[in-house]
Amino acid sequence: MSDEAHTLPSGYPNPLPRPKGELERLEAVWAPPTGIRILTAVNNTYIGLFYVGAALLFFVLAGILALLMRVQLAVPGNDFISQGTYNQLFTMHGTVMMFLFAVPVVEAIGILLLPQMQAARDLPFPRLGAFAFWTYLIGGLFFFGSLFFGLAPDGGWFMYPPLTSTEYSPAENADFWLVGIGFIEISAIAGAIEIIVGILRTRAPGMTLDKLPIFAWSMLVFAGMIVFAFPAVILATFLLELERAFAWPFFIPEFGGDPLLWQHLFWFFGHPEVYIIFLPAAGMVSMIVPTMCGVPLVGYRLIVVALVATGFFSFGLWVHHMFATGIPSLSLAFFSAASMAVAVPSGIQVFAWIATIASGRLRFTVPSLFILGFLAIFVIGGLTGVMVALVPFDWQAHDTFFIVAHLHYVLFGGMVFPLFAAIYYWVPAVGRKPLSERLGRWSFWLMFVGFNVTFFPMHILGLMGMPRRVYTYPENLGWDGINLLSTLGAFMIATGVLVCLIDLARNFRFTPSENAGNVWQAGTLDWLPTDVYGNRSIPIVTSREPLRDDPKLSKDVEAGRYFLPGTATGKRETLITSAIDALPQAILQVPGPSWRSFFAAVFTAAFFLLLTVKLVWPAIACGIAALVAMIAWLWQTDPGRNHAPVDIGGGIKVPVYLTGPASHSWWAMVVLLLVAASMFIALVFSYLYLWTVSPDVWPATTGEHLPAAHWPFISAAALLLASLAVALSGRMLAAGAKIGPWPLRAGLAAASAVLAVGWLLDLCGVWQTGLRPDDSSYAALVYTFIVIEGLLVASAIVMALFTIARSIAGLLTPIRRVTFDNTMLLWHYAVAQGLIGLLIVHGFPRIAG
Amino acid sequence: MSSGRPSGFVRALLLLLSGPLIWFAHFSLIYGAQGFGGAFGFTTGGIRAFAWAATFIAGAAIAAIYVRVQRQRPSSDPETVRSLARTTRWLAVLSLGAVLLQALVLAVIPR
Repeated sequence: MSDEAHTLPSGYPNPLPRPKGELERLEAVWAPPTGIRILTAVNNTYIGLFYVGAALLFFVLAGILALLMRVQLAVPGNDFISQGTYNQLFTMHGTVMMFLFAVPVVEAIGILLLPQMQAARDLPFPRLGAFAFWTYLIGGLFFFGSLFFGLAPDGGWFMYPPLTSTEYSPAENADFWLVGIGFIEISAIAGAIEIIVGILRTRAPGMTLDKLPIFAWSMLVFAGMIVFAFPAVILATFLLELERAFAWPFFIPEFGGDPLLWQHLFWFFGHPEVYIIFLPAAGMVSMIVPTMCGVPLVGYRLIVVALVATGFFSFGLWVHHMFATGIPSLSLAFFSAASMAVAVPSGIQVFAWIATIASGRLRFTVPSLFILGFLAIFVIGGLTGVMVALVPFDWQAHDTFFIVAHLHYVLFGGMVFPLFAAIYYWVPAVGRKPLSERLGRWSFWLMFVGFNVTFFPMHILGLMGMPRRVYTYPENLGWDGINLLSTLGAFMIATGVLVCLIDLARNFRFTPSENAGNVWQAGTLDWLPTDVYGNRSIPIVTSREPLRDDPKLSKDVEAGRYFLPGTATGKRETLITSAIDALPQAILQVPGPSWRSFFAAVFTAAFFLLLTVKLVWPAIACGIAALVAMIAWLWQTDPGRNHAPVDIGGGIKVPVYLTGPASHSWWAMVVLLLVAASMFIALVFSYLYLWTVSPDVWPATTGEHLPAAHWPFISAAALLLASLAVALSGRMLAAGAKIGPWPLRAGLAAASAVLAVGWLLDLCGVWQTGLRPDDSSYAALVYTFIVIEGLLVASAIVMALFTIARSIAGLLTPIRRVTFDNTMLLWHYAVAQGLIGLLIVHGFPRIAG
Repeated sequence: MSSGRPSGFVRALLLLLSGPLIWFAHFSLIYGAQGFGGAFGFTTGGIRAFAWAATFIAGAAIAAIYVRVQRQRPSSDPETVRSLARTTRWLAVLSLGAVLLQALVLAVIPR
């Protein structure tokens, strides 16, 4: 299938009248489900709004936990809350804010707004977006519900072992965190894949990368960071859960483990997480400031540079959180330097916003107030960040309230204030009228003053020596008045949030077909007239602020004078464009409402939650149900070339189906494999790290537990053979009618068998040496390599069987082959990872010895 | 600048990100040498020499990319190409600064 990009035609907007019934057909195709079937909605406007609402619910819930903590700390010697409950409260407050509010809410805003900003009708995988949302909501509610049964995690939001090990946390509280959060992050990764492919492949024609709205750039960097950061913490939670459930000793020093391994893995995720949260918020600021100032953004390119550089540099900071763990001074200094380096790109953005404000005339609207509040608070947080990047200062401030103050200045200032600015700014884009300016100002001032009253004194408290995470304190330390002040401030913030919620309840009505319009006179495409189908037609973009540069654009788009003014194939569609130049390549038929993705999410959530409370058989039943629902969902996702190339306007005819590297699903699979590769690299790091800590448990010194060389060689040969068989199957598929479908099916079946045998040989080789996973950290790591490879092998085999089933059903042809292409990608990756794993597990001890 | 083919996109992306990628490689190498070098039997002096060599190579590589992009002549869409080239150069400059900041650590922290 050709993936050629078409050049853009002249002669637009098209002045000819649109045919009768065109708009009605478009509306009918995109009509949202009603009644109970609203649960099956997948359209980005619905899922995006559900997502934002759910994230705000978790924000309020976690905020209530914070208020309870502040009441407890308001006076010395307070017995309002017990120590155990307080531990659960601060753990849940941090965890819910970070994992159930901060990341999901920016992902949600991305899902809601990105298609509008890019003039796409929807994101490329609507059902994946719906799946991500429902798993997040169901999982999140159950996770939060654990508080009411005394089962909430209580080891702090970063869950350090040995405190969270079975020895010190024998109850299921920690398991709720490990299984619940690990699974919620899978939902975040699903959303990130959707966002990456959506930004790169579904932009309006002409929206080249240098014309991409800054928010889209920030979401691209955000999603890329999720792909590389989240796998580290997923691996960490997997390892700790294996230790807790099966006594595989990754973090127990007596067996060669090390609790610091957890800290490395957690903070390799945890520090980028700060920027994962901040960068989209910065993107929102970069959208709002130019509008409110009435001038283009100063330093667009430098801001893009700053976003990308921050994304990278943030991965060099994780030890920043481990300065007090006894790491050698040279290592500390490397991370200290990197911590200062990241301040440069952050500073570039701040100066660009100030310059934009200086070059225009700022309207003092509610969004502007929240932006100004953000600038003041975030700069203070950034400066204290540079302070704690200095090792000697960090040793003094470590684990005190100074850190609590710093992190809230960065996270609340850097993310929550821009979020509230965004709510006030974009509500008119999805609702009938803007929110109230009067209530908005009340909300802002209460939050701004309340925030500083709450958190600024905490700097002083910290310097006075008050440690964080203490549930009470004696009265003669001089901390009483400051704590009371902080508590009063916290209630001011809560009142500010409440005012905003009242404003939303009074003034916000979700009306995708009738929004308030471009009330701020903004220049970007998110302010084009929209309906449930997005824009009536998809415009040609010629500048970064098309609405400002072409005042008639909205009217022309609404009149259907640009691309794809109706439905070309009678189904939901969006335009696929090339990644850099955004030239039209194809029409993508996007799936509509479905129970399948909904039930897949429900059963997936049930599987993980039942597993957490050790109801193994019901969990397995739900796991099977989830798998069935997913297969039923995937069965519909490869429609094939069901329509001749269609005219999207301007004489451009594009195909309705792409395969191979041009297909959007190929891109998604590649991103998914990057996630898998990141997790594997984190595992390799864990292996090398524990080797440096406890080389005495490695076979080079113990002289046993290393299988004879023929085991890994035969296993490697089997893996290679399996890959070769799949490659040959690809050729058989291409040959099509000449040889019939059976060689392909036989090839895939044989490849599956050989792949399974290759994996089993590796397992048997290790097992017959007498090594058992609970023997030592080395043994646990060896079996973890095998388990993770086993999961990949199982996935590849399931996909191969799925591909065979589609072939038997007549749904796999030389043209309709996306399913096979994806199976092949996963397959070759599984083999490559298996080979590297064999090299490390069997080769490294021999070399290092 | 390739528009339609993914391979063209990957090439363009790698060039755009070459500065930060080199920074990351340099950072991983010098931290890896510091963290794991001792376990492999390298001396402190050897590790520092390795880190200096890595810094020199990384700096030279970033400079080479800067010069290459500076000399690049647009072929297709000049505006997009020029814009991405400028972004690449700025990223290279920032990355070079970050690499040198890491090297400063080697210079100021006593053995």
